[in-house]
Amino acid sequence: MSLVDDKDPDAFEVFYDRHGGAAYSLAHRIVGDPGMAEDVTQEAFLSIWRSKARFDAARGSVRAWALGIVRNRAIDALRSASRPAPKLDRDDDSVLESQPAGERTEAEAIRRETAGRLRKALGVLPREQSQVIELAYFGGFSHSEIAEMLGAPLGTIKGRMRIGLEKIRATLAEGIPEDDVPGAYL
Amino acid sequence: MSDHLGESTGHERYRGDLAAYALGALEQREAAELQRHLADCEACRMHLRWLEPAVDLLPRSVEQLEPPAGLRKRLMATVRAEARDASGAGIAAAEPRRWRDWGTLFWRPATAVAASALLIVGAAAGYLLHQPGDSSSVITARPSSAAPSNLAGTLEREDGSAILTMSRLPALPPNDVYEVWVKRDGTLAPSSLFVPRRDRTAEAAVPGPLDDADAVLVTREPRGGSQHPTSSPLLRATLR
Repeated sequence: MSLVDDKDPDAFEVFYDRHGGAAYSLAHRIVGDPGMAEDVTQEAFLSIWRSKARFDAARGSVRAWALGIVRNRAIDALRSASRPAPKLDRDDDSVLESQPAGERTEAEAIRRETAGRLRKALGVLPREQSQVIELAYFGGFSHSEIAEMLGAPLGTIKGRMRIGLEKIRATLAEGIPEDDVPGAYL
Repeated sequence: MSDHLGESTGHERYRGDLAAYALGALEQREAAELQRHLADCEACRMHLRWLEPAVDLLPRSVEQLEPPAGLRKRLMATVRAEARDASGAGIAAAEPRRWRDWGTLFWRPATAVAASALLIVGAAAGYLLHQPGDSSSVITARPSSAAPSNLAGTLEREDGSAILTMSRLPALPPNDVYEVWVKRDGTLAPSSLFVPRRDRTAEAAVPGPLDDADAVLVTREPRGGSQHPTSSPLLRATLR
């Protein structure tokens, strides 16, 4: 069933309110530029609105589906602009500090805290494993491009991806929250 | 999880590619080849399904930024304009020419929300993200006559529970909260409590199971919540 077949702007607005923040944050992480992240997010949501794209519930949550579309758009934008790969360190505090803080909500604070915990969990990976995962997911590089970039054999890169991702998955099974904490609870 | 490692060298090679595939890092030709293998290999399909939540975790791990307010404004202006055009085309085909100008007036922003309820007849029951046999769906929650007409919400059901997402909720007096109710066989059972954010949006979990539920409703209640509703429902998502 399509998300947008019924073309209900009010329902779509609620959909954006729920997923827009995560979408913009992901786009910003990938393209590394606020203006471009804004364009990418807008294009991704408009493509969801306009298209007959179908959400396959068997493949995961609505959020993961929407963020997958944002990620693809961001990678395309990055390639079109021939921009360098995003920075690989995880210290995005300087970017955050540049954002207006006045309207941050409790829910956003919780989402940020969740993100922080997840980042910490990812941070336990050895650098060579997190590096290839970040280059692939946030940089949009293929495994052969990463192998060339790092001067390592292709099999080594694939092995690092496999071990790293399996470790993250195992950590997830041990209690990292499966979904964002809903905001504004009492 | 099944483990067929060692069945064949081809299988082992594909198994080693699954993480790169899940990360979108395989070349197009390799991805197509792996997809053919996946069609025939239950063990690899299972392993891929097992890996996918780890990939889904990655976008949620980035620092959460607040999107610029202008983004929402521009996006929704485009969406509403396109909805107007789509509905307007239908009206234009069905009505005399002199009514077309009224159609434009009708769709001015101030009346767009009310008008959409009249024109998108097919959408009256909201939209669904549901496929036969799937456990996920999104249902539009509708404001009652006692609520502001622009109050909006969706109920996203997944694996038996649901998340109720709302916007343009009326501001609450300091000692009030909103309470979610689950209706079954004419009886309302209290669910979660919440207060809206400053921007008048909110999300509330609705723990399941909801399989036998008829509707999910929201009322305004004294802080601490109530065991029985003390005010008229403002929002309703009809489940069946």
